[in-house]
Amino acid sequence: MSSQNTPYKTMTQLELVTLAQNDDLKALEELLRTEQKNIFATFSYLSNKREDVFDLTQEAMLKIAKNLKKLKEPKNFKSWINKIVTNLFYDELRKCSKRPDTLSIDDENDTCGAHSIINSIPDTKCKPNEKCISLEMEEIIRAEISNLPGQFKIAIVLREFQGLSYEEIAEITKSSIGTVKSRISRARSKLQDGLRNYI
Amino acid sequence: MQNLDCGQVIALLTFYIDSKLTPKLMKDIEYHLNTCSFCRNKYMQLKKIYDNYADIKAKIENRDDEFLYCESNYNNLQYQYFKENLSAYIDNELNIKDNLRIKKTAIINPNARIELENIIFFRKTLQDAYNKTKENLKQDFSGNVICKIYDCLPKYRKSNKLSLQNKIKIIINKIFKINKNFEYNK
Repeated sequence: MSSQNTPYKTMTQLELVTLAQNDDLKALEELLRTEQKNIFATFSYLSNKREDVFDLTQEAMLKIAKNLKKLKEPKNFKSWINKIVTNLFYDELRKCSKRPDTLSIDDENDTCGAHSIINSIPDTKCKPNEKCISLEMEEIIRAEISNLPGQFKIAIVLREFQGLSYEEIAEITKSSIGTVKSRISRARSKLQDGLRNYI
Repeated sequence: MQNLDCGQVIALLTFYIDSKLTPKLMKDIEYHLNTCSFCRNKYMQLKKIYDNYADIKAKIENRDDEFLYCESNYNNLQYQYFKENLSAYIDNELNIKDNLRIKKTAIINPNARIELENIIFFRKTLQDAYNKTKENLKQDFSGNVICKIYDCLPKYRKSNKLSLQNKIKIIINKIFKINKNFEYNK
């Protein structure tokens, strides 16, 4: 199917998907490599528990690799992987509701967390539009999003970070376009309120 | 008492209403108004206009200018519609008609424009945060995942030269093993 020197790195996603569906393992590996950061970041915003994110990411990648051949339209790849990610997250939510809440020993001390009083005081010196966003800011935003109610955060993550259309999100979350529209709108205003002191 | 004629009284009416005349003149005019119905009518009309004017003036002075201005910008249907649809607008999910309506509001209403700018900046910040989060993943799972599915080290990997990172890993693992064995033997 492919020669030794096939330039996988320069291929488009569509080409990689098509090759991978035809048993080209190197193409599959390259595809997973390019997608893993995206999947990891998505779970980082969905899951409240940081230690779960790595497991979820690997699980999602396994599912993608196993089921890639079942994907009929390679151009729907993005929407398809988001469906896998969302379903895994739903499973995780279900599991979480059953098992008692645990606390990770890796968690940083809560007094310095994103929701402490110190962090609710506006920082007048902070000018976020200057240059790049700080690491601390990224953590605060991540905490704000992952603390949203489940359906809201799925909708906002799929829209803002995955760039899916309302129709695609409605299909993935099995809801109507109107519901998606209002969820995204409400999630945005909640986040804007929550981040008012920082942005 | 000085007798004023109608012409004089009407000329002095505005000053009379403002009480800006000498007490004597005030009295004279009052006397004239009590006796002359024509001048009294004129006086009543003018007084009404003055009262209305004073009323409006007081209202404006009592309220903060800015407050009046914002109130009208926030409290209208157009703005409410804008608020409800702003999110869908920036996602490009509105039809042409609604799209134009939002655009129009943003042009006319300064508050709406600020909202629009805020939400666009907010989106950009989220995007930056997301890109930063992506970089938090330092491991590469892709090889592992494929090994899991196709049983360890399939053919295609043998032809692949090991990357420097993997080589180092293998060496470190070997050293650890040797160390462990060494301790165990001791």
